[in-house]
This record gives sequence, structure tokens and C-alpha cells, in this order.
Amino acid sequence: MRAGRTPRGLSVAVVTSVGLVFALAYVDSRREEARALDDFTGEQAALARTLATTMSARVATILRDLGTVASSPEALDRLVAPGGAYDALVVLDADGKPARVVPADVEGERRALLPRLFAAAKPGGAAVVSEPMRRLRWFLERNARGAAALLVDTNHFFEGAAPLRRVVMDDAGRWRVSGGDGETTSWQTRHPPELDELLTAMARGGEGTEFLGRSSADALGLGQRSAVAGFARVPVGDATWSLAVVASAKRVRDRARLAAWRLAAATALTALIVGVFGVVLTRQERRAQELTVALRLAEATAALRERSEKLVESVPLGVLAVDAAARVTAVNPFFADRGARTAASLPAALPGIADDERAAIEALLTEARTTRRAQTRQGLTLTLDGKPREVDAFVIPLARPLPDADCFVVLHDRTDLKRLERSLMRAEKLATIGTLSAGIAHEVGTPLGIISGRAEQLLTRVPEGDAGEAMKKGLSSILGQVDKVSTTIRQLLDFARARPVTVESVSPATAVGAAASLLEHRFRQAKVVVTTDAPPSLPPLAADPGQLEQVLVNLLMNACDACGAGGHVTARARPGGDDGVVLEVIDDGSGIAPEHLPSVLDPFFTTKKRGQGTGLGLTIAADIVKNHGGTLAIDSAPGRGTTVRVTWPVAS
Amino acid sequence: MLLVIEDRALSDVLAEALVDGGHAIAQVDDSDAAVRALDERAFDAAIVDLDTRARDGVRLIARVRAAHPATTVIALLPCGGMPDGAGPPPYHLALEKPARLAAVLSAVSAAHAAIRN
Repeated sequence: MRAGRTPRGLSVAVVTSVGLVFALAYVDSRREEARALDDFTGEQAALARTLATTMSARVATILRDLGTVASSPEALDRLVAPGGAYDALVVLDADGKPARVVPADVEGERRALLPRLFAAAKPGGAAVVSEPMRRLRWFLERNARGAAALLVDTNHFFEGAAPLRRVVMDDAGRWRVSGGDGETTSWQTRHPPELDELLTAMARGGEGTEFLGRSSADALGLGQRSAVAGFARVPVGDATWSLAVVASAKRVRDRARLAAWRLAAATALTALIVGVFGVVLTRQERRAQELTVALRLAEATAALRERSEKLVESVPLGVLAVDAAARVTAVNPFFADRGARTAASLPAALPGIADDERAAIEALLTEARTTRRAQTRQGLTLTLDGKPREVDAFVIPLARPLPDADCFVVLHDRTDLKRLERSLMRAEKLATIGTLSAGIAHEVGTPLGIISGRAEQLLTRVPEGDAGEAMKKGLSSILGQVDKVSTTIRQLLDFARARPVTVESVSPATAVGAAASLLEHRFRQAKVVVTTDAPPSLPPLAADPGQLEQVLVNLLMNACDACGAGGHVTARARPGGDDGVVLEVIDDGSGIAPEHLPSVLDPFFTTKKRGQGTGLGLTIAADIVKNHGGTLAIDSAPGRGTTVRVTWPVAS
Repeated sequence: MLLVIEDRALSDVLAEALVDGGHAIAQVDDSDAAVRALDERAFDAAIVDLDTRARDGVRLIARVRAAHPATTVIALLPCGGMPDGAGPPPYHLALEKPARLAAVLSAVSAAHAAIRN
């Protein structure tokens, strides 16, 4: 919008400026014309006065020795006819040789004209001669004793051969006209209508100026132009004549026209300059706008680039730039921190990548370049920073490939997310278990009570003898199963319930010894040897005593169950550095298969025979350890036994 | 001895065992009947099943403790104990389902001993 408004405004400004200049030019031309006319008329008046006061007086003085003015009025008339002030005066003797030259430096071509002038004039006569360029004129008056010559620069007044006429009126009212080159009409007494106004004014005497119309100018031979006459009284001997110098107004018109043309030219030039300036200004403005837009675009691009770079640098994603030759040309910091680097190939850039994974990503690159659409592959496994990571791969082709990149490979490490998902699923499962357990406990408590009560009653009434023994065994079995069901329900409820932790300082040696003592009978029945190794010097643990005991009991029971008769179980405690105290339960039992290891902490997962375990013991133990800020790790292999290692924080 | 147990079969099992143990028994199956029975005569002890459809066992125990302080209250808790957040009711003694008869008799004996002391 702004780009369109400025040139229009500029055009208006240019047109306005040109119009203003034309108006000023017109006013100035009119003013110039008026000034030129004033100057001209003033000039004419001045000329008349000069001729009257200076020239005629001096010529008269000069000629006093040559002859009287009265006897030679025509000579004076010829003298004054060209008009103008004299520039030099030369007095010649009877032989025509200069007797006096004022000023003395009249030399060259001007002086060379004098002999020819002198020869042309008869004694008592006069002659006029002009130099070749007709700017200077000699006026010579000769008598028997010599001659006097005046050098007059007519160009000084008339700028060369300007149309000019002199009108002389003697005191008798006769008048005659002489031209610029000395042509003179005869004396006349009649006033033609065209000149009547001028001649009447001259006859009145005095000085003045008259504007003559075209007919008057034409009558004086000045052409179809108006003219201006300046007239004054000129003393001639004892008489006083009226002398008028009439000049065509052509010069004024020409001057005015010239001024108008000059002004028009100036106006045109000004308009041209303004126009050019406008064009240049418009172009500059447009260029400035283009530069502004380009600058804004550049700023926006720079901001976008900075934002994109920061985004790429800060996102928790691996980003690789790959060029058309499959070179990895850039790696974002997140990925670089995990071992990725720029390299000539994908395997070199990702040292931990397996062949299958590399092939999968390369296939995505090929597909992306072919289809020009983003490609995705989920569930790839990469070794990053020495650890196996589960990632999703995205290959994004650039719409405008760059020299150093035509695709971006984005690797989303979902390992932690997967772990979180598993934790969430486990939490949901636990919540479900809790709800389910509470319902079961509510429903089965009363029936179990009835069953166990009746079984107990019957046990008191069983007759003696073999039949009675069989009955007692059956009733005892019923009671045992009721106990098992109720125990399972209690475990479920325990597992599902939140366990508020009341932390105390607990001696590791005391806790280990107490747990082993609780299960002494069970170990004895299973014929498994249990030993403890927990120095009393170990720092106390920050633990809820009951929950710590439950952890140790659960781990020892699992260890006992994993061992056959003759097996060995060790419960020990040792310093664990800054992390706390390490509690270990070690058995030499059957061990856990590798495929089962990831699941051993899941609720209800058990490798025990049906009815021997609920699959909750290790889960509860791990949960308690986690709630205390510790860690639980399992090291096991089939046939080699199992070590459960618990790192427990110490009391501050 | 007053048995406040909703389930008749369970009430009968316990009643027979207590009678066999030499105790005089009265059986009711809800809180209103229990209140009426307690208003009519004094009981040394009351076994109150908290696991009922009306869920008013805790309120009954509090009422018995307030109106009949001489009566020892033995609570019969759900299997696994009281639910999370329920808090312990103001009973004197508690048994968790499925309670062994020996445990019930032992609790009743303890109640009598408390009364005698």
C-alpha cells in the first residue's frame, strides 16, 4: 500500500512544482519585459541627453576651429546621426595626418580607417566609415584646414546594427529622418499621421518619451514593430533643435521573448530535473522499500533460523543432517553427547548401529528421497553412549535440498518413555489388584470363616480310629487351604495398600539377624543352610523397621524356595560407599532364566510351582526399597544361583 | 454374650462354639436388633461383625461403648483388616476373618478377664 502511494504523491508534487515554475516564469517574463522596456526607454532618454549635452557640445567645440555649426548643421546631423558617445578623437591636419589623438592609443584597424575617411570627405564635407564588423564608426568633418574625426562605439548602445532612426527637428519645425547607416531623408514640413504624435511632442520642446505604434514604426522604416522614441532639446549653434532617437521595440520584444524562452527553458530544465529527480526518488523509494522488505525478510529469516537452530539444539531428539551422498554433515548436541558424530557414512556417524538398523534407516532415506515425503520406522534399537536404546526413526526430506543436506534423520529415544509406560502400566495393574483384592477379601472372609469354623468343630468330634484319622487329615487340609487363601488375600491387600514409611535408624546387623531368625524353622524344614554376615559396625539404615524386615524376609523366602535340600543361602550386609549399605541375599539355587529376568519384579510373576507362591514377594520388596530411596538389582543365571543386591540409604 | 453377625451361618458356627465353651449366647443380625437387645439386658461382651451390607458396624460399636461401657466389644474385621483410611474403630478386641474358633474363645476369655479385673 505504501509503495503505491508515494509515486502518486510524487507525481502530484512534480506537476505542482512544474506549474509553479511556469507561473513564476510567466510572472518573471512579464516583469522582465516591463523592466526591459523601462531600461530601454531610459536608455533612449539617456542617449538623447548624452547627444544633447555631451556629444554635441564637444563636437561643436571641436569643430569650432574647423567651421561653425551654424554653417554646417548637416555635419552635426551626420555626426550625431549614428548616436553614441565617442571613444576617441583625432584631429587631422590639411594633409589628413593625425595632429592630435585622444586617447593616444587608438591603433590598428581603427586608425587605419582614417586616411580612407579623410580622402572620402571633401573639404566642408563629412564622411562616415565603419569598421568591418560595423561596431565602430568614424565620423569625420573636414574643412580647408583639416578635419576632426570621432570614433563612436554604437554597439555600446544598440548591441550592433539595431533598428534605429533619428528624427531631427530644427527650430523652424522642419524635420528629417536618418537611418542607422547614415541615410538621411530631406527636410520636411508636413506631419504624416503616423508620426504626428511624435513630431508634435518634439515641436513642443523639452524632453520625453513616446511609444510609437506599428504604423509609426513602419513609417520610420523600423518594420512592423512598435517603437520607442526618446527626445530632447539639442543646442545647435545659436539654435536649439529637437533630437529624437527612435528604436524599434523589437529588441524589447526579443529580450522579453528571449527572457520567456530562457525562462521556459529554465522551466523545462527545472521540470526535467524535477522529473528526473522524481524518477530517481521514486526508484530510490522503491529500492528503499525493497530493501526494507528484504531487511525484514532477512531479519525474519535470521530469527527463524536462530529459533530453528535453538530448537534443534535443545530438543531431546537426535537430529542428523544427511546429504545426497549419504554423508552425515551435522549432528545436534543432544545426539553428539551420546556418541553420534559427523562422518562420511551412517555407520561411521552412529558407531553403535547394527547392520539391520542401518539398513532400515538407509531404506527410509531412499524412500524419503523418492517420494519426497517423511518416512517413519518405530522400535529400532541403537547403542548410544554404550547403552541399548529403543528409538523411533523419522526421515524428513527437504523441499529445497541444501548443498550439505537433503534429508534430516530424527531419532526419538523412547527408552525412558517405554520405561515410564511400563511403570504406569504396573501402577494401573496394582490399583486394579487393590480394588480386586478388597472385593475378594470382603466376599470370601465370611465364607472362609464358616468353612474353617465348621472344620474346627468337626475336628473336635472326629471319632478315634483309622477312619477318624483320615477325617482329621481331611479337615486339617481344609483348614490349611483356608489359611492359604486368607494369607494370599492378606498379601494382595498388603501389596495394594499404600505403605506409609516411618523411618528410624535400624542396625543392618540386627535387621539381617532378625529376618533370618524368623525363617529359621522354614530353612530347617527345607534343609537349606542359611548364614548371615552383617558387621555391627555398619552405619544404621534409614528404614521403617517392619518394612525392612519384610524385604529381607521376602528375599530369604525366595532364596530358600530356589534352593533344594542342601542348598545354601547367605544374607549379608557391607558398606556401599556414598550410596548407603548393600544388603545381599545370595543363594546357590536354580537361578533365573535370562528371558525371565525382566519380569521378576512384575506382580504375580513367579517361577515357583503352582500354589507355592503368589508372585508378589519380590514385587513388594522392590516397592519398599524404592520407597526408601534405595535400589534393588538381581544378578542371576540358571545353575549359578541368584544374588539380590539391595542398596539402602543410611540414616543421617 | 451378644453376637451381632449378619451372616447366619457364621453366627451359628461361632454361637455353637461359644455355647460349647460354656457361654450364654444371644444372636442378632443387624444393629437395630443389637441396640434393642442391649437395652433389654446387660451383656458381658458383644462380638460385632463390621463386614455387613449396611456398613454400620463401626457406628454400632461407638454406640455400645457409649451406652453400655460395661460391655466388652470384640470386633470381627474383614479379611486383611480394615480398609485403608477407615481408621481403627473403638473396639476392645479385634479378630480378623476367617478367625479360628480358638482365637474367638480366647478373645472372649480375655473379655471376661477384663470384666473380672
